[in-house]
Amino acid sequence: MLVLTRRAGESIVIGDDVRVVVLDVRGETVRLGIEAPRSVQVHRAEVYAEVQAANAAALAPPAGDLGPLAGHLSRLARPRTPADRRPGRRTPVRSPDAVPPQGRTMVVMTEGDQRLQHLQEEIDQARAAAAEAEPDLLPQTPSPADRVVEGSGEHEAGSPSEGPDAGPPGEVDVDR
Amino acid sequence: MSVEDLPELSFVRPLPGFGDLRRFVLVEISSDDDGDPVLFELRSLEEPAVRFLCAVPTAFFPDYAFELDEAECADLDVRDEADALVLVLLTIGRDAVATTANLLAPVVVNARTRAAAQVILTGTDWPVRAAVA
Repeated sequence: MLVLTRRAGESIVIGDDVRVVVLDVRGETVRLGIEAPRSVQVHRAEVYAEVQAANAAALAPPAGDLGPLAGHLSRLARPRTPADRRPGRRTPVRSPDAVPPQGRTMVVMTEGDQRLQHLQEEIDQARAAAAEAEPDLLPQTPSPADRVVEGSGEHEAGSPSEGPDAGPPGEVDVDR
Repeated sequence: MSVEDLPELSFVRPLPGFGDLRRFVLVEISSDDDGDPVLFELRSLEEPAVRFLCAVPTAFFPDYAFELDEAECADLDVRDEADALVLVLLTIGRDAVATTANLLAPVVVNARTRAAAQVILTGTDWPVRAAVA
């Protein structure tokens, strides 16, 4: 494991196109901003592990007819109303075309536009600070997609990756 | 209808925990009284032992909704709500009543292009194991 000490506003780069910015450090909580291409999935480790485990558990028996079980399950299904049948009604989808061109896409793991704006300001400040400290590392053009991970989200409590093991303030452990 | 005749789904990235499997077929196994599909088998074409039972979530969870972010829309080339077919993976319990659905990580299929991905939702409280009954 590579261990790096960073302060708020400083960052690290991983490969050519992933950048992790330490936004701030409060007590045992470190907030990180992550800029990565869209093709790179960014998730809290414990959430990703939970989905991996759930997928493994969801494997159906390799042989055998699923029909009888499906029959039982179908009887548990609720009758759908006409409104349910409208395509996509239950899945609001924002078209990418509707997004004003900003040169990058923000994926923010918190709710609320205000929060998003606040985070964006923090990232811009962190970028400005980083530009002063290490101008060579700052991308000359915005990356295809920038992301912000709100580290103090709903999954924080008791999580191994963000709990006391996160190290003393100012230090960010990077798993390799 | 044999597997070869069924429309092939192309996952833009593997399901978490399932290496590099990207080619699947979706086999409808159950529909409601109006003929609308309720349950599907999602079967790997590369590893036949890998198959999942999945459901149209609104059949079991009428309030289920989420917003697909721009990056996912672009990855899947979803341009319109009608493009997106949403399915949830079921974990088969001891009996039907003990079966759970993964609402945190739905599988979104572009019904137009057959591109698919399991999307891990962020900023929601949908559980990874929700009882269907």
